[in-house]
Amino acid sequence: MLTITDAALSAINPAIAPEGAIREYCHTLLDLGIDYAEVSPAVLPYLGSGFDPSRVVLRNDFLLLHDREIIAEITANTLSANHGKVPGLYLSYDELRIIGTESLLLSDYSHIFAEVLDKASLPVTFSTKNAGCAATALMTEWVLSGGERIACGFMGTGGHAPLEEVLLALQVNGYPLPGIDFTRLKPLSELWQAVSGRKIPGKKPVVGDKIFEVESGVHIDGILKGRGNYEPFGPETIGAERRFVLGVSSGKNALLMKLKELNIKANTVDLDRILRLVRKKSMEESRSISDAEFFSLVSRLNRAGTYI
Amino acid sequence: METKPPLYLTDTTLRDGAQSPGLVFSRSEKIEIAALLDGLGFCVIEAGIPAMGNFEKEAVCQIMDLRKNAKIAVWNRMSPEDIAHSFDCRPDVIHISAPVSDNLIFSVLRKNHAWVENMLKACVFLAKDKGYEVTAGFQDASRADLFFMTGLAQSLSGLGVSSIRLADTVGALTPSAIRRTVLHFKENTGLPIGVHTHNDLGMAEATALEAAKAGASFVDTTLLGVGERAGNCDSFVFSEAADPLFNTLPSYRALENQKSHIRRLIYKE
Repeated sequence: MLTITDAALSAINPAIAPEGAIREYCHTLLDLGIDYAEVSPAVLPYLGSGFDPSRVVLRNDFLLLHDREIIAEITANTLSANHGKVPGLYLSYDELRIIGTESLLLSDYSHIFAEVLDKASLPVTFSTKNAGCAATALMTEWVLSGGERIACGFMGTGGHAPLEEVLLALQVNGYPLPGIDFTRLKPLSELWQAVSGRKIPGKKPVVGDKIFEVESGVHIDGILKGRGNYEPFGPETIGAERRFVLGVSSGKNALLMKLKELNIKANTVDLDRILRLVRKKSMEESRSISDAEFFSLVSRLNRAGTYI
Repeated sequence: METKPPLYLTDTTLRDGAQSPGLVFSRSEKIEIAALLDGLGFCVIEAGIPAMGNFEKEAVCQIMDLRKNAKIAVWNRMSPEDIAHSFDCRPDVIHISAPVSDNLIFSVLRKNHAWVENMLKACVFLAKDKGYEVTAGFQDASRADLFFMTGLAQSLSGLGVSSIRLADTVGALTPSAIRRTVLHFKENTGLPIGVHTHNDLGMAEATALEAAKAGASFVDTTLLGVGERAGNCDSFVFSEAADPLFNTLPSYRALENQKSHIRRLIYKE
């Protein structure tokens, strides 16, 4: 069983969070199936008395404490230089946390992971700092190599691997995560925005608002013929919804989906003409067409006497 | 100093990137982007899908007229009609994309492996017969049978296809999985390999980098990672990450110098 820590709350300023948001974020983490919330001393009082202290990892300057156990941090580069062997200095601690950086992806990380997992005599958690585009990949590879403890940060907070990406990468690649309720990811996104004061970009993998927008005709056809043909997981997996968007590359299938979504009977509309209008408007405006704009195009065409 | 091996970025902003909902380029914008990509040193610019219609075809023709160093490639489904549309644009490269996963072959197309092989060979023959350089794309390669794919690649090699591009169409591949796939291709076919990755799981650049470490010669990217869903492999992020190991063409520095210009062109900021 994978043991998962979310460390996002060790890297935020609690003073900007609305009242109750931090507490709710932590409870939603537990609902999602995460084992520990790692927090800074400043965040700790915001968890409230109802939060189980055994589910908290406290981050002080260098060491982390949970249930009086001390976790030592060591960089993957140090371990690699030591051929995966944990230096004696670290063996007196209760747990070890390895920190990977972007450069780890440039090396033979599979070999390093195998050595560490083979030689470690104490529990080892893997995490990343400043790993950029390598973070999710390294974390996923660690677990697929046999690692059983990870520390991530929702939305990559604090330079950690984004929790939401790691969870989905594991699930899509067949790693069993029976304790995870993925549908909690959407509510967690809302709470993260409140807690961090930041907005999640629309195209953010897994939790972005725009990732389930579909416009192109070929792909809509694919989705109609069977989900999973053009995406690794559907919106329902994470508690989101699919949106069909009309634009320059939309075809008749997309148009029919949109009409159905807006409860407009397809036989009341001249499909070829409306498709030409949609493409023209999208081209003129350099963007996709909103539902309201589409509705007004349909009404205008119908008022012009074509189909009334 | 040790020389780093070259790694070629192939740009698909105008083809796959432009499939992103809400991203619309006028003809003059397409031409401006293509000229910029050419100047930056991309060896291949995938300029569009001629089968989409006259608007697309005219843009590709104008891009062809203006290109200096890059090869202009056009994307085709595995269909003789698509390829006939591409002939109208007289591109440098005709790229033919074949579905290779059982999911796409059996459930979307309701065909079988033999049909894919015959159809793909027929399409390649059509384009080669007219003297075009042809590259093949394996769609949904991440979920396809390795032996079916390498068998297909071997027969395409005999027909004169110049490279194979493996597409992680759904963005599901892990680095170790793409490493195994690329190594298998390197061992079993003599063809140069390209990879096309998506960012659904936040691993587009990491998997592409692992593919390059395993011997892939080409990496498909889009400017600023634009593309459907969570986007494609981002040429900025990728070239920066790959820089310690590879001499990427174009280099991260060349791209970075044009970043604000590119942001204006793509996001119209």
